[in-house]
Amino acid sequence: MKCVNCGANFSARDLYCPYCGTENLRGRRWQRQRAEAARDYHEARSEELPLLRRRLANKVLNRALLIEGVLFALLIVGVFLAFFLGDAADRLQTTLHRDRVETELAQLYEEGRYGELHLRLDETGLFGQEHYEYSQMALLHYDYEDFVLARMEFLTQREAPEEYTMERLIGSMHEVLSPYIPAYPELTERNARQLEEYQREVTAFAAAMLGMEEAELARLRQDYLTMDEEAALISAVLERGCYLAEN
Amino acid sequence: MRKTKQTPGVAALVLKALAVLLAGVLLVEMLIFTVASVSGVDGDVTDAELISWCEEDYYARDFAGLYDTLTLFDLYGEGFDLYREVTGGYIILQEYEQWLRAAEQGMDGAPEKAASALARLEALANAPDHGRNASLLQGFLAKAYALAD
Repeated sequence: MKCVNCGANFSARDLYCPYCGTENLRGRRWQRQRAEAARDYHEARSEELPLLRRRLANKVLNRALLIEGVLFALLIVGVFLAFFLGDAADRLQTTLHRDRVETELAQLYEEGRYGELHLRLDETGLFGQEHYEYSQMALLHYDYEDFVLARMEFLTQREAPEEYTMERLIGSMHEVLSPYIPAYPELTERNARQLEEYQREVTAFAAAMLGMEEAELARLRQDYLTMDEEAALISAVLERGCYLAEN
Repeated sequence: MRKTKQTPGVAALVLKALAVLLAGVLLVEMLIFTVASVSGVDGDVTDAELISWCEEDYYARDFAGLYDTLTLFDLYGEGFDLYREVTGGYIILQEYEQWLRAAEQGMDGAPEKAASALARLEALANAPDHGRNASLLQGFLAKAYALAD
C-alpha cells in the first residue's frame, strides 16, 4: 500500500511507514483483529480440548467394542461350524462305511468285546433302537466294568477301606444286580444270559468276600437303594471286617 | 443449524473402558480355550500322555490305577493291548480268588467257576501276546496256585 504522507510503498500489515514513520491505521486494525482472533482461538482450544479428548476416547472404545463383538461372533460361528461339520463328517463317514461298521459291531458283539462295542457305538453315533441288542449290552457291560474296577480297588487296598471306596463298591454292585437302562428295558435272550453271568459274579463276590447275607443281597437287588439302606449295608460290611489283600 | 456432537461423561467412559477390558479378557480366554481344545494341548489328552500314565501305573504295579485309566479313557488298540492284557490277567486272578473262597463256603457252581478262571489264567500266562507281560502274568499264576494250596 502507499503511505498517505510520503507515498512510499510498504506492507499493509506494518504499523508505521518505514520511510516517514506515519502511523498506518489499517495495519493497527489488522494487528488488533489478529490479536483478538488469536485470543479467541486459545480460549476455544482450552475449552474444547478436554471434550475432544473424551470424544476421541469414546470413539476408540466404540471401535474396540465393535471389534470385540465381531471377533466374538466369529468365534461362536467358528466353534459351531467346527462342531457341526465334525459331527456331520463322522456321520458321513459312518454312512459311507455302513457295511463295514455293521460288520465290526457284529464281530465285537459276537466276540464279547463289549467295552470296545460301547466305544464304537459311541464314536459312530449308532447307539439307539436300531442297534437295540448291541446298545443294551454295551450299557450292561459298562455297569459291570465299573464293578470290576471297584472290586479291584477294594481288593488291592492294604488298609481298612475308606467310605468312598465302599460307597462306590456297593453302588456298582447295585447297578449290576438291578440295572437301570430305560431306553432298552426288555432284555434280549443273549443279553439276559450275559447279565445273569455278571450278576452271579457280583453275588459270589458279595457273599464270599464281603460276607453278605441273603437279606442284604435282596436289598441290593431292589430297583432303588436309599441312602440309608446303602449306609446300613456299608456299616454291616465294615463291622464284619473286610477282606484285605495279603500283599 | 449445525448439529453439535454430544460429549460422553467421564463416568460413562470409565464404564465403557471396563466393559471393553472385560470383553477383551473373556475373548482372549475363549480363544485360548478354543485353540487348546482344537489342538489337544489342554482339553484332550494326547496318546503319548496316556501311554506315559499307563507306564507309571505299570511300573508301580498299580493295576487298579492302570485299569482305571484304560476304562476312563476307553483305551483300546495296539498302543494299549499290553496294558489290557496285564489288567485282564489281574482281573482273572481276582475272579479266581473270589470263586475259590465262594467254593470254600459251598456255593453252588463255584468250584467250576474257579477252575474255569484258573484255566483262563494259565492259558494267558503261558502264551502272552506281549513278552513284557510274561513275568507279571506268571506271578499272577503263581499266586493263584498259592491260593489253592
